[in-house]
Amino acid sequence: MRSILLPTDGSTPALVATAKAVEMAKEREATLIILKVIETAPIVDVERMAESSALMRPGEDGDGVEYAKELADAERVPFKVLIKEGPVVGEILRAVEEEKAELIVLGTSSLRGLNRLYLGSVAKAVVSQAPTSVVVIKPTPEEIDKVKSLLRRVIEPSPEKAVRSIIRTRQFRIGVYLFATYVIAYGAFILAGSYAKDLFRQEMLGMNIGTVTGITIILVTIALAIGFNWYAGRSEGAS
Amino acid sequence: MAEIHPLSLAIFILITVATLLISIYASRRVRTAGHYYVAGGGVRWFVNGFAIAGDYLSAASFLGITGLIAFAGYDGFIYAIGFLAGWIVALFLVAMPLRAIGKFTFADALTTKFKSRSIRLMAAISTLVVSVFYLIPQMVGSGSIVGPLIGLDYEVGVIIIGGLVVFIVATAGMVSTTWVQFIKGFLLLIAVIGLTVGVLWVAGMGPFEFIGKIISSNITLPSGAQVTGEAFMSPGLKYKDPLDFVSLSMALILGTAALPHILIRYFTVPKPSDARKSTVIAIIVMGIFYLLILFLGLGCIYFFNQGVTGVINPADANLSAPLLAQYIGGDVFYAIISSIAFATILGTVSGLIMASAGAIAHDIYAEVLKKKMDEKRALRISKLTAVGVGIIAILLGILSKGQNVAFLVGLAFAIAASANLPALLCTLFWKRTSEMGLVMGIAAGLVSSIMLIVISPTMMGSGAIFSLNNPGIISIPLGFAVTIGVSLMSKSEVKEVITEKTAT
Repeated sequence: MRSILLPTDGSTPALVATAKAVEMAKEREATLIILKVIETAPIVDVERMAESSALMRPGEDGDGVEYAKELADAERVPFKVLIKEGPVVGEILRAVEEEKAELIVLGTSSLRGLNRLYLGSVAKAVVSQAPTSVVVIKPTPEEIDKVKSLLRRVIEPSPEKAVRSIIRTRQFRIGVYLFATYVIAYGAFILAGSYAKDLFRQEMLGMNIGTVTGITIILVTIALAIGFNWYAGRSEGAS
Repeated sequence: MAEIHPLSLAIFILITVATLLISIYASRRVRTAGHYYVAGGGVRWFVNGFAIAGDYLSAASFLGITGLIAFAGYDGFIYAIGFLAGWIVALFLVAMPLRAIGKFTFADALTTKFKSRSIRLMAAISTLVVSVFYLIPQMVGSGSIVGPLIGLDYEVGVIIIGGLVVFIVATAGMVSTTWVQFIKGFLLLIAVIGLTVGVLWVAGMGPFEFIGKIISSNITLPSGAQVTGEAFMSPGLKYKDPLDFVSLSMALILGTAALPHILIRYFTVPKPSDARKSTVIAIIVMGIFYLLILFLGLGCIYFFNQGVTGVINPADANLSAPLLAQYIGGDVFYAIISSIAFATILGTVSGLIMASAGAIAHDIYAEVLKKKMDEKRALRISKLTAVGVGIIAILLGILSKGQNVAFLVGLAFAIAASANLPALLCTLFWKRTSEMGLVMGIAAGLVSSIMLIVISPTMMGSGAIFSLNNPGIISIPLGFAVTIGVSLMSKSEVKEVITEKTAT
């Protein structure tokens, strides 16, 4: 099975490289290996901010993996996601070996001045050390614009996708079961009230069954709403 | 001309002025159609929860159900339970996914999947029909209680309420509507709690003891008839035909989450989780309301049987709640409750006019007829439409004077459940739903429920062709069957639409 390795950090050059890698994978009928490396080396906030702005990262959310998945999916390119922890260059080189990728596609920025000295060495290091060919993408301004407009669509999912992602959650399914149970119970209450009126007249708790059941339904409705909200809120917080 | 109640009039004017000030203040923040229709989508869930309750708890709920319980006992209570039960559909099935797809109107939600003008047109028509059916009783209610409560004539009442609502919706649309509904929901909650405490305090009993006392004693109904407390507190006093009652219950539980003026409230919060949270707040508020309203109705009949004749007007069940307030807390309490009843009508009518104006200006004019316009023009047209709808509401209210129109609320629920709910649920949950299925489903639900109403005893009297007053039991399954059946028969085009979107 042929494969192309795409290391991505969500920066704009990486996103342009993603589009290129998907295109190439489609041409060659290869699998796209999406690699994200989480750096273990401690990094101070100021440094991260400097890096983010220098690399034109769209923000904390744009981790690049989602973007690559969406793009590959749309082009029907088979893909695989790897999340690794460690030094960036080392992990990229290891992934090439392990996955037997025939090509690495990655982006680099045309950094200048101090930033060039400080960052931007990943591509250089990969090119010099990789056992395979490396395609290094330096995006043009037009490519950056194109990628940004695509990104907006990926980050803001379509309404249909948003609905599907809500419906697929566990809490929503549990809500559907609770709903079904409630409707059956309420249906039984209405049918009994319509066709078994004598039952409703039986004494209960100093009142009658009908009144006690009616009050219970209202209290259960309130309790169900509070309980479900508590549960759903907790699951949202966890995810 | 009825006798003027100065205190009621004073509080009424106070509420009116407060409403006007809120609207004027809010209007400064409304600059786009998004602000106008959904308050910019930035309403907090807690506020929206109370506003949903304020939107939903109409005069039919407050005045109508109190009267119904006072006059028909348990059958009134079971009605209250049905009004609450419908919220379970909103909580578990509709609230969260609806927020994810909706923009301004019910039709927007249905057209996210297919960008179809026919679906939009059908949804807009259905929105208008349901809202008008719901609106007429509210307008008639405002006119008919204004006389006894404040001392103004029927027409004056309708024009004042209508005029105020037009002002609310024309100045700041959903922003001012939200605040009016929020305040009203809050006031209504205080009103029922105050009245319930008053009833139990004057009666000198605990809540369960009070119900037990009524069940164990003999009851003289306002009509003069005698029944046992046991019969009064069990089903069958009002609804003689069990099937009719089942039909009504179906309409209530399935119609609530399909009322367009309720659905648009969900578009005003930022996130799907906020939609759920506001539903929960609304359910808590309404649950307390519908539980306590039992004591209001029973309080009326209890004191009536204690020999207090002024607590019930045998000719008008709708006045039970204010009269009860007068007995418990004198003229001040009477004035307060009467004014809250007015605020109640204001909040609900504003919601209904917003829903109708959205259907006309946004759905039909801007989207179906494809009129190109900028933000400013869109906003102006929306406001003008709201004024137009408000004037029509006033005219309908005046024309329906003296008609018994309370049944229209139950029918609005039935139409919503038959036409809107199948389309909404299928759009959200069923992948094979087709454009044709939605169009035919809404049409079938709409036409069948209206036809069945026309040939029902409500319209034709004893010679009716269809024996039930509420069409729900036939038209709701029919609406679902047509939506699903036609979808299965017509070839689905969903796949093409999706690939086309992702490829560009």
